[in-house]
Amino acid sequence: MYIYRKYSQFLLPRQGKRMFAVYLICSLANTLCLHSMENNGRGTKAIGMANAFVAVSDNLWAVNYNPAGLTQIKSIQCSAFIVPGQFGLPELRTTTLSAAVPFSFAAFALKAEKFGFDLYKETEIGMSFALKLDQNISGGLSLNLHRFDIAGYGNKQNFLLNGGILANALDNVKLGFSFSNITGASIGRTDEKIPQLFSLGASWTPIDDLLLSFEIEKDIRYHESIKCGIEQKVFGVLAFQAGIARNPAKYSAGITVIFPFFEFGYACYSHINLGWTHQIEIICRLDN
Amino acid sequence: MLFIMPVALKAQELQPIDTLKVMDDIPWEKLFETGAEDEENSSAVDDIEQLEDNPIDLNTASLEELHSIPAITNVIASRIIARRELAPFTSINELASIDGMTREMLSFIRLFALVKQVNRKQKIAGKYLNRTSIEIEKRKGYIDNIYPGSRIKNLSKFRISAGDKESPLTSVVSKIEAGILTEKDPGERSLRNFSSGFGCITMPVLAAKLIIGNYQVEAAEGLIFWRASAFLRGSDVIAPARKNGSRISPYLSTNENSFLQGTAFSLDINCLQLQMFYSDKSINATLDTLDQISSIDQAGLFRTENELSKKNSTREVLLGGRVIARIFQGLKLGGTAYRTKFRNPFILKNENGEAAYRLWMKGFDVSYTNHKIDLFTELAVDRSHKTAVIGGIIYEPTTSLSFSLIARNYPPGFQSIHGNAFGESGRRVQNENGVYVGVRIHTIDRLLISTYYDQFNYPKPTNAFPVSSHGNDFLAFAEFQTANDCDFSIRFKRKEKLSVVDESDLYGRTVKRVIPRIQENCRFNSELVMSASIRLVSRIEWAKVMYAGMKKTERGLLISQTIKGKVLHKITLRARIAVFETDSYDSKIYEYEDDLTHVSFNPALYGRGLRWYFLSKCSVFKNLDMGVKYSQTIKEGIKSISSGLDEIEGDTQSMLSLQIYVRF
Repeated sequence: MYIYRKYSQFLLPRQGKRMFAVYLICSLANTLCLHSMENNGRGTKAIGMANAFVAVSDNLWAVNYNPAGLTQIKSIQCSAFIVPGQFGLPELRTTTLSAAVPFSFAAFALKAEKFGFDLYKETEIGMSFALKLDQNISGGLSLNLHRFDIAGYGNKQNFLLNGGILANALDNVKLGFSFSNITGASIGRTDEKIPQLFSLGASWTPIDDLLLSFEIEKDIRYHESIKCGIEQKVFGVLAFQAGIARNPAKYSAGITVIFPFFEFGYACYSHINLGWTHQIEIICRLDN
Repeated sequence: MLFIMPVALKAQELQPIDTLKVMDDIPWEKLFETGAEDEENSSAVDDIEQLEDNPIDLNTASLEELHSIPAITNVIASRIIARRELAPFTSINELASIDGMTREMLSFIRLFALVKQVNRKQKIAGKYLNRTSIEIEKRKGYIDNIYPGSRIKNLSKFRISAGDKESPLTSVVSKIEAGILTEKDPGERSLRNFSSGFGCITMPVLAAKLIIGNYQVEAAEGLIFWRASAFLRGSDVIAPARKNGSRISPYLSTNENSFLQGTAFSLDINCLQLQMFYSDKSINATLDTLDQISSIDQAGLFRTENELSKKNSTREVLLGGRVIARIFQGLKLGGTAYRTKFRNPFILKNENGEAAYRLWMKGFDVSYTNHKIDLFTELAVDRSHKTAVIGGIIYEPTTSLSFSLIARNYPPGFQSIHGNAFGESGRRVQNENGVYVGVRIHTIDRLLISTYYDQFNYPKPTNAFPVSSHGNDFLAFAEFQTANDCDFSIRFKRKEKLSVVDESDLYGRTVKRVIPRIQENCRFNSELVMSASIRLVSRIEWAKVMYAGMKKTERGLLISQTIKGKVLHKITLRARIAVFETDSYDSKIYEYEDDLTHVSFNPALYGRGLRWYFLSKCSVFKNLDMGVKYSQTIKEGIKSISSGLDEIEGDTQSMLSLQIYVRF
């Protein structure tokens, strides 16, 4: 979450982490208008690749990274993604459901998400639309309604608009670009902007089973983050992911088991100060 | 870019190429990439406009005319002439077989040259351009009612010509041309705050040309005369090194000082060319308490009382001439001289700081060009008998290797008020010596590698810089183009120069210290052709500024994504989002932008924020183009932008520009 990046330099004792996180969210929420929209990732494949996913975006979690990627989906997909407790804190639980429907030249997706606990809660529903602009290029937009609930302070809703482009630059090389919160929506009495993230990346498939990805992401307010990810498929039923990112320094790994009509995924990542986070997902595919 | 459309269409007649590709093939950014311009570079763009209006006939053009096409060197021009002497060109594609011809050169030639004059049935041709821009947010000067005029910036330009070389008007006059320009900057009161005009008559007898009104002179390497702006050092390390000026031309740009006003006449007698010019012109200058000219104004903004006091504050009368003799093929000798008189004494930037009413300059130049080598030199002497010299060689021994070497020595106190020669100091042709070396390698098809190194010294301390100084500038550039015209490039630039910084001493006093400042920029750029109508341009640039001996290091980053499209064959669309973060203005990064026709815009981005723009140009009818651009810069963590009367409250700066362009 955004708050952890901002204050991670102050987090030292591991045992005090939970107290600090809850305290930080609760005590500063009314003045800083906190939000969890910093992209910690959705989908175990993306997270396993350290979120270097803007130029990959080949499953329905493209709704989070680059909606243009939805045009790569070949069949109807729905997914449930759960982070039982970010950094081991059950208060920072995320549950997301999404579904995507592809057409010959476009794709449509819906998403619903819940984050937080009784004192601080964020919920989001969103829809995404992607269109093939030409044979080698797609564009996509996501419109999300985001709601913040802070106990004792009420709630606030915002519409967030995200957009992206995905292009087949060369054989086996894709280039992706996305920009979140295009309209610069802000929240709170101090009109604090919800993060505007600019991501630019490339992915390369040198051989059929191997995928490499590189991305540079810039939150307008913070230093850039550089991410690299790799995925290796084995026997067509297993996929292993690994990734590394800086600013914040993270490393990650994941595994996906691919069955004929569904996939099961697990991923974890480690934040240099905050420790490990585990997540699981299940994707159902209605293949022809 | 719309202004090149007619030429692009002409190029299509020669070779069917997609219009979008043709327009985007012009590497405009390479012409202006040095990043010295933070505003509309109208004078240099005006030269491109001239090329657009008068495309060069490859079968009849002179060496100088061919050299005026960007990226074309004298050596390549000489090879084109040698090739056409064997057999006239029937297609521009035949140029691809000329040794050393790069894709970049071909792209320029396609736009600005022809193999024959296409059907020019109409004897009268003209164009009208009107561009209006407004800054959405009000600056303090408007809120406090200090600026007398509106926020609107307006430019109107009208140009008409009758007849040409191929279809002369009469036996005595082959072509008549006239133009007028009016301009109003934001905050100025009148729409005609600056106006400029000219009339030009071309006579076939002795190839004579007469200009009445505003004009500019380009002579040799620019020690004595050159226009206000020039194509500067950049990834093209060869062509911009050589100026080869030998013309007088009508002036219709917006720089309010860098031109002459009066009469100019040129005449070609066999191998001899004579040029005479007389100018009597008001000058915008700052006068000191003794009514002496302390500086000439280049900003051209007249809004406040102080600024208005500079407007037309003095006058200059100039009489000059130039003779060019082409002794035999390739060898050219030239001589240039002028005398000028100011109404107020001009404070000379020499060791004595004396002021003079009258100045003069004279000089000569020699050049020799063949199909492998281009040797050139120019020498100029000023009123104080100080001698400035520049000389160089461009050597293109093989098809894949080009080499340029330029040495210059502009002594301290040398006074060239109309010059603009190659160097580090821009238009200040004085107190500088240095050597420039450029190499371009084109070994593998589609891969171009170029590099330059420039070593320069400022031998004498100045008021602005208290000690003698030195520095160097290095650039390495590699560009790869795929078979489907996708383009990937990487550019590294390093510049080291002495700089004055303020430091606190042991007692807390501010002291000035001279230390080397090193700036490094690394840029990755990709341009992908996704389809006949869509292109994607991605860019990442890092900047790093270091001060030797200090811990202070500043960094900058710019990431941008541009999409270029064309819809309904008539509407071109451009959109870009760029995010940037630099530690201060010192580590700023220049972001070249597409803009309306005849505008080159290269804003410096600094601080932390976001810039985006949307640009659309539409060919409403065959001869009518319209354009609109909306741009916005949003900075994070600041309460106001700029300072003084130009201060804008808030973190947002927006600009709306509209343009109409009619050709007939």
